[in-house]
Amino acid sequence: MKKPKVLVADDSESSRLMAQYCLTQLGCESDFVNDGQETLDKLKKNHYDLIIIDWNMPHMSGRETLIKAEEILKDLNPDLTSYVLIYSGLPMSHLNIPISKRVHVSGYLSKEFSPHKQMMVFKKYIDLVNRERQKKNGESAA
Amino acid sequence: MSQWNTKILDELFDIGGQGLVFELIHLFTDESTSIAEKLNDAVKENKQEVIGRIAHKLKSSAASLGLKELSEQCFKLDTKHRDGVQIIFSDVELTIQKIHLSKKLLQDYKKQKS
Repeated sequence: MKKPKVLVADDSESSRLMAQYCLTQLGCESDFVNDGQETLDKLKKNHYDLIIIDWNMPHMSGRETLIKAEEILKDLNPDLTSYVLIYSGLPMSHLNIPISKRVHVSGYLSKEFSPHKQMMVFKKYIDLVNRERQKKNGESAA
Repeated sequence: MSQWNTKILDELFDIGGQGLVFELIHLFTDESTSIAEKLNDAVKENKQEVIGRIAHKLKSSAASLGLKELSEQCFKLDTKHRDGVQIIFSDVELTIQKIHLSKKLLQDYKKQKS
């Protein structure tokens, strides 16, 4: 099976580095971007199984980026969807998460979590992506 | 060293070994000098938005290395900013002191592990 493809959007170099180590260990193929505009540019060219997005990026917030990403994916291929993991230093209750069909916000990762806990959250969502892909492969083979 | 939680660094070692830990320390120490300068400039010019944004980012990066006291100080600044409370010079001065102390702790730790 192909490696899960992940996009990490965060303007913090240390957060990107941490994510890179975790995702490499989990067998993912990952791309890394600094801001919302770069995220949208990547989404126009590639499909990602999982998007990990910082909520507090300069110029374009994580929320604005997801709203625009929904529009892009709708135009490109309405059948393609991506899971989204929000990466934030704020509690989830402070986030005004948009409801969308193609970019499913399915989880939250606090920057305050310990490294082991961050790794567990990454693993949980990579496992979810792998299960979904296996299910789709099974359906197409049947 | 009440602010020093080596458990976090031990966990980082588990995940990425010395390479990850040293690189994260390098990034923090490298960035923190310019962060301290930016905070100093921002408080002189009363740029509350800039102070709030820096404190928010620094809160997370400090926590990710177990720098609890610095992270908590940044949390106070971040909360003040979000609540619309004026951040004053002494708030920023204390933050800058904690940044310098944190840098020293990280450099000492790196020396020990080298």
